[in-house]
Amino acid sequence: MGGMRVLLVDDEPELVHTMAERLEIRDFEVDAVTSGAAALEKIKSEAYDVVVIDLKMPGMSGHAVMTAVRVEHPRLPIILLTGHGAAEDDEENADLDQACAYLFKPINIDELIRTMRECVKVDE
Amino acid sequence: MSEPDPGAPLLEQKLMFFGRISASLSHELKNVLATINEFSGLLDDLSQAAASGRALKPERLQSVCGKIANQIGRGEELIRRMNRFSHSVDEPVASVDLREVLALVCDLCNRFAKLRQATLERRFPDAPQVLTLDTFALEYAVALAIDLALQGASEQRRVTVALLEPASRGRCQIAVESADPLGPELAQATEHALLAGVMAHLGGTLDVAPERIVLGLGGLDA
Repeated sequence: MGGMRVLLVDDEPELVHTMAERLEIRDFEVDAVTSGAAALEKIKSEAYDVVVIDLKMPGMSGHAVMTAVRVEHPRLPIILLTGHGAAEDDEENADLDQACAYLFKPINIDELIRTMRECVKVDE
Repeated sequence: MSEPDPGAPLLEQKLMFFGRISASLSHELKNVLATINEFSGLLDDLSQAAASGRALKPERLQSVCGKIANQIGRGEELIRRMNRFSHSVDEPVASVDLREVLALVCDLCNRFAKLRQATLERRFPDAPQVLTLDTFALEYAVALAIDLALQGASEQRRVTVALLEPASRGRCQIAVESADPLGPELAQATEHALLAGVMAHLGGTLDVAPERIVLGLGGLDA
C-alpha cells in the first residue's frame, strides 16, 4: 500500500509523529520534523516523493518553506495542511497554486494517502 | 486579515481585536482536535493489527490514552481562556485585579509571540492591584503593546509584561519590556497610533522608550 518516501512538517510534535506512525503502519517511509528549517535540512540530504507541510508554523511558515523548496525542487509534490477553511492571513492565500493540494485539519488518513498518490501520479 | 485603521472608531477596533483573538484560539483548538483525531486513528490502527493477530502491549495503549488526556486538558485550558476573554466585554467598566487581566492577555498573545519565535514572560507583584476601568480596552491596549514590542523582533527575542509597583498616589504602570532595544521606527507603526488612541480612551498615558513601552493608568481603587 505504501512505498512512498514522505516528509511531514508540522510544529505540533504529537500530531506529526502520530501521523508518521500511522503512515508507517501502512508501509510508507516517513520522516517527521517540527519546523520549516528542519524540513529544508532534510530535503537537502534526503530524496522524498512528496512533502506535507502545515501552513501556520513559528519561524518559517509553510508558505515560506514551499517557496524555498521550489528553488531546488520545482517538481517535488507539496501538500499543504491548514487549520481553517478560510485562510487566516494574506500569506496563506498567496501562491496556493504552487501546492499540489491542500487539506484541512483534522486530516483523514485515507484522504491524505489518496491525495499523496494523486500528487505523485500527476508529477510522474 | 485586514489591518486595523487608527482612524476607525474604537468600537470597530475592539471588534477586530475580538475577532483576531477568537480566530487564534480557534486555530489552537483545531490543532488539539487534529491531534486527538490522530491518536484516535492510531488506536483504531492498533486494534485492527491486534485483531489480525499482532501482539498489542497494554503500555502502548496507556501511553496513547495519556496523551489524549493531555490534549483534552490543553483544549479545556483554551476554552477557559476563550470564556474569560468573552466575558471581559460584559460590562463597559469593571473593577478588576490587573494581574489577572495581564495574565489572560499574556496567555492569549503567547501564540503570536511563538509564531515570531519570541518568548513572552510576565512579572507581577504578589499583592492584588485593583482598578476600575474598561477591561476590554485594557486587554486591547496590552495586546497592542506586545505586538509593538514583537515588531521586527530578532529570533529568540524575549518580551516581558510587567506590572510595576504603584508609584506616587497609587498610580498604576504596566511595562512591556524587550530584551532587544525597540527601534525608533516603532513610533511610526500603526500599533503605536492605535495604542495612543486606546490609552487616551482609558484616560492613561503612553511612553515608548527603546527598552520598554509603559502604559500609565489611573489610581488604584481604595
